[in-house]
Amino acid sequence: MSENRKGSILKPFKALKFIGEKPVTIRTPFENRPTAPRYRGFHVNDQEKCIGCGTCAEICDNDAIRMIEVPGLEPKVGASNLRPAIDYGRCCWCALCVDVCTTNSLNMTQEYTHVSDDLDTFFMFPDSEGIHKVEFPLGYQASEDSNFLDLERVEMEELSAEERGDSFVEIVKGFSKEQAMAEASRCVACGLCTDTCPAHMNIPEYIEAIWDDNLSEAGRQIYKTNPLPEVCGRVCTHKCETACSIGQRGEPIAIRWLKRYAMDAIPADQYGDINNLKVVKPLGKSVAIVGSGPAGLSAAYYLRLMGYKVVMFEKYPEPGGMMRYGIPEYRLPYDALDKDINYIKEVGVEIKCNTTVGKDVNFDDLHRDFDVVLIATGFHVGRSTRVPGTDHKDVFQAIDLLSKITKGEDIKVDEKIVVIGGGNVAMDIARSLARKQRQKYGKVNLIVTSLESRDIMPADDEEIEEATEEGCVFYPGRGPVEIVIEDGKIQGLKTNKCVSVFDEQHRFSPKFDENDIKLLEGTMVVESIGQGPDMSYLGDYSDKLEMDGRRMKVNEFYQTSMDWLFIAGDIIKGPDVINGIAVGHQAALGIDKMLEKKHDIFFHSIFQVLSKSLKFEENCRKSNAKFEGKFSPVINTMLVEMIKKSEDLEKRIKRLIENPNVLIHLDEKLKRPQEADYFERFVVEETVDENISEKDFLKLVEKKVRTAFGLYHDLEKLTKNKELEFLFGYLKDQKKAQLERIKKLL
Amino acid sequence: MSKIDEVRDYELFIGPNHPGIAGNYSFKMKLRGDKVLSAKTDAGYLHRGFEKLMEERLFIQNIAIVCRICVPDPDPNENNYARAVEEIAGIEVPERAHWIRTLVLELSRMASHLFSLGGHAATTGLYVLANWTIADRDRIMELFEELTGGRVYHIYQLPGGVRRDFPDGFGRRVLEVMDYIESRLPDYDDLAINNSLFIKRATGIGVITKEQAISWGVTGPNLRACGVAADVRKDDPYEVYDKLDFEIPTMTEGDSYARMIVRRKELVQSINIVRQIIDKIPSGPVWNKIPNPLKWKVPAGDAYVRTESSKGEYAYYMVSDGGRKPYRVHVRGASTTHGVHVLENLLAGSRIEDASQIMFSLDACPPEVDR
Amino acid sequence: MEYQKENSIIEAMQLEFPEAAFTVKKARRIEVKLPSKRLYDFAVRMQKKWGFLHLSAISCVDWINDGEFELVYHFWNYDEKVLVMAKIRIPREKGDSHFETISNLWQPAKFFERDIHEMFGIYFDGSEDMEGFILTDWTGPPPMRKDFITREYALNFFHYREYEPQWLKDMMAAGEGNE
Repeated sequence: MSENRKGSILKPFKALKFIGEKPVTIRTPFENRPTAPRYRGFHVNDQEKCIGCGTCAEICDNDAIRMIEVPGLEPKVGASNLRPAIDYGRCCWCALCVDVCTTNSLNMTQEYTHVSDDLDTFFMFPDSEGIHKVEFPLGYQASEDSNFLDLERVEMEELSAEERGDSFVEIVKGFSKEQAMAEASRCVACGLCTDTCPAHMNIPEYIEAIWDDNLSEAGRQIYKTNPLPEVCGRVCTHKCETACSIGQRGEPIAIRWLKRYAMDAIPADQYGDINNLKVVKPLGKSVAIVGSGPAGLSAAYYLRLMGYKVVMFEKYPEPGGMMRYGIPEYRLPYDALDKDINYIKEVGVEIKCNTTVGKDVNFDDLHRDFDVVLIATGFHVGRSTRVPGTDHKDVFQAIDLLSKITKGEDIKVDEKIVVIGGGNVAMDIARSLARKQRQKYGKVNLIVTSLESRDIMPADDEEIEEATEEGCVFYPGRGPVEIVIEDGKIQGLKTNKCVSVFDEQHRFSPKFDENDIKLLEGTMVVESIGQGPDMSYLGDYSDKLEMDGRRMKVNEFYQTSMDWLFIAGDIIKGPDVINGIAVGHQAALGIDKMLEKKHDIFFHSIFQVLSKSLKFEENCRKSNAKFEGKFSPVINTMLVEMIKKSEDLEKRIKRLIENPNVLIHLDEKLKRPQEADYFERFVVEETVDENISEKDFLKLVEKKVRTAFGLYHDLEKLTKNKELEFLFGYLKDQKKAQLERIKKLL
Repeated sequence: MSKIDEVRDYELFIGPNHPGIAGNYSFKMKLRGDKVLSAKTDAGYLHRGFEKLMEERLFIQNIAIVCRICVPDPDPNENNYARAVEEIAGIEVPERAHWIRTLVLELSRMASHLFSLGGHAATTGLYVLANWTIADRDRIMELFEELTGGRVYHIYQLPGGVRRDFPDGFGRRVLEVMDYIESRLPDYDDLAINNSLFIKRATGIGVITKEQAISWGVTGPNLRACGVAADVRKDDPYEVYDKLDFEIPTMTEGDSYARMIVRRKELVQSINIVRQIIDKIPSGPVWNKIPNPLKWKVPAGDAYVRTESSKGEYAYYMVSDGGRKPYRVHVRGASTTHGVHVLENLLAGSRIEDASQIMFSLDACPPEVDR
Repeated sequence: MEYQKENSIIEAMQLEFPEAAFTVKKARRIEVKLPSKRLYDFAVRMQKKWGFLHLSAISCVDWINDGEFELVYHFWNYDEKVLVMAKIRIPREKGDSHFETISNLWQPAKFFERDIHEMFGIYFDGSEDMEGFILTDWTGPPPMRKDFITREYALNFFHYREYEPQWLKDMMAAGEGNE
């Protein structure tokens, strides 16, 4: 190196020494350059492993990944029929999709060449064979230590077996705010849970709201499809968690506990504010609902919001059905249940307790006095094994005992008890009785026996585990033979071994080993092998109804062959609370459709919803304009700005609707159909008193803005298209800013 | 002014593709004969709105974009971005990741300097050096390919560390490449630096004085060629530069040749740094897990982070409003000074045949200006 | 004492700018919030008195909800090795906002101010060149303002291309057969 700038003209000729050296360049296409093992080339996707959660598309920073509905691929629990297709005109090979993939199905190969003059061919559908069906070694792959997902659940604190063994205090303590937010942060919002949930709850949306620490939004999202969230937050069978995509490689999100957290954190007196739903247009029609279980309550809530007069008839002293008289208090405390039911009462549902239809009220009268009757009386009659000895006075039905415990009546508790049954009701009664035993005798001596062996017992695993912890002893896989009675006293239950429960066609047909006999000792036997309905109140009507096998024939809205009679709950579709809620909601929509002679129950495309939102925006602007100049300067400035903003938003929405580029997307199906009059119901009554006080007016405006915020928030979530998602995000942000401003003034 | 001069006054539009700059960038020049009277830069050919795009993407998504702001030297972008997020969010980075990042930054500096040496020589007609340096630069690209999976855009430094650890035997191969490049340096000298043709062409061209350099905001090798020993790596140390032993080469002449020499000397320093890193790098994890990136929110705050890129001071100003996306990211590329008014100042009064050499000697990078 | 160097710098500055709020953000980073009309004085002293010879950058942030622009001036001192971030806020106007230039003090300010004018619509009075630079034939609003939505602009101005690759057609055709 020559810092003194003395060069030589001859120096460059030294380069001649390289003459004859092999060139370092490659003669493509005759030679192929091999790549490093970590090379980020074209994608491969194991179509079997992939569950179509769409997280790859979500994280893609160029929108290069589009989820394609694969025809012929059936969606199942925890897997959709979507698979990623990749636009290599946009892909930048950053491999964020690989590092975020929930199943590790998406990886990259070392293949890097694709030459074509047809642009369409750059849009590809990767499978495990590679894009050109030529095998290349894998390149950049998912690795355990650089995984973006949080696979471990935030632990839920529970009372220990010792602490809870003799009391009916709730076992699960619930999340703190920090715990809930940490748990919520794990969600990737794939929506597989929503597809699986019978009520199609907006799970990703409320989890997102919890993460944003926006509990009222969480409550609003939850209440859209579920008016019994405190209940579901505790005892739901949480099919959603089975479907959770995080559960593919880790522990699924604790969706149930998150819901519980959100609802526990919202005080009862704020429910109304959250939902904005107190004001409804009365329609002058009425619905009678028989039975106040989850299905009945759910239908009642939504019908009431739609503007119907709703009267419920309940034979027990308090509403709630199985939720109160079946589920023990340590799982579902009564005040949590009451919080839900009180809000349903608050919106104007009338519940007549201690009123048995068929005894205190005639079913005919219901038909006469109401436009529609919905029956949701559930399964309250316990089935018996009918083995010899079941007619003994010390043989009980689980369901009867459970309701007596709730009512506070004295029940017989012996020192040695045998429970027959392997379902959740059996666990409920076993664990309740174990508590009673411990209270009375200081120790537990309780046997649970079921036909099903441990691995196929229908009860939730955690129930069985907790029951074991509390001292219940399990004898699974045994069939009851007879109840052994000596001197009028029960000595125990004679059982034989159950070899198989189902036959090859998966029909119930138990087979026993007669030689393997065992006496399970106990002086009291409780049967819990299932429940059935009692629909004697229907009287003559039951003959008139068309049947479909053993059940009544219904349409998709659970309307029977008599158009004024709807049916919901366990008696048509069980077996749990969430199914009851879902059926109740659907029946409510059906009743509305019938009474109002509506055609469109659902919006299916963004276009329909947007047109609605345009109208909504117009309405807000007009009603705000009416009050311009009537209030103090601060509020007036805000109003003026809001009117201006509304105009701007209207313009933007209009431009959206009329834009040919956008029209392509607008016709696209929404991720989930929206109830058509959902938004209408949100619009608060237009006739505002001219002399309204400043504060009341502000509150009213706040409600509207919040409604609009919710609307855009939903649209943002519901569209599959990212271009639009962004615009809705903007609209949402605008409303959010307004909301914050109003809140400051309030 | 003679009559002939008046006739010879003309305007020339150079660009957007020309030998002076690797990238698309043009100049409107006023000339008299072959003398440049004034020059005005015209940017925008590579404008992709990165700063705006970043505001619309999740914090994690931006790591795939930022590297594109400077093609020959992308890693300072990644590093700045990651460090800005870390500073605002208070994320700790594992020790090993700091070392790996430093390694990546130095490799990137070398790749960029090789590119620039070759290009610089080519503007004087010495194209062989360009062919050599670009072929040698490919050795570094191969290292990147092995480490990160990408050759040009590495998308490797994440907030919280780096995405992957060394593959087996990587350190050995890095050293091999270092040895190779070191062995090539005398060849480069022969071709251009000790070539009296080049010395003649480059001496006294595009001279910046020390005072001018500071008031014009010149940074990096260009500033060091004017006799100012300023380097962000030393003055405002980041990653593990304070644990490494290296020198800041300076020259005093401030002309095109001095800038070439500074870059050539920096190559030696970088080789030295890389060897130290491979020698001293501690073992351990390479990434501190960040929360689920789809939900991740970075607390409100702001940070101004700087690195020494191969071109000069490279800085990011990031503001977060507590959301999932950065509220604002301002990219301050080294070329925002070198590529605009410094060039305009130097070109005025120069001769047209030296124009492209002046441009390349400043090593301006158009996408840093355009963003 | 921690941040001794930084604190002594702040002390000197605070004497002349009692209305400014100084904080040490971390080692070698000082933040100062100033009333906007004092910025020029501050800049002059920075350069002439306190030896902050290098203007690293001028950043602009659009705080749309506050109705304000924030300008952040980053000054670097080669000797002390400290960076001062001077922050001021100016009202956000619908058209151009206005502020005074410091390009007569620092050449690099020319580019940053011109860029901010183009991207945010803040006119720097006294600057010699406020013409457009990066955006070619741009007629829209200043694009870095928060109320400019890139996607909306793109949807309105660019053609949207749908893909119809053969595999997709085949897949859909096979699907129809199944149903």
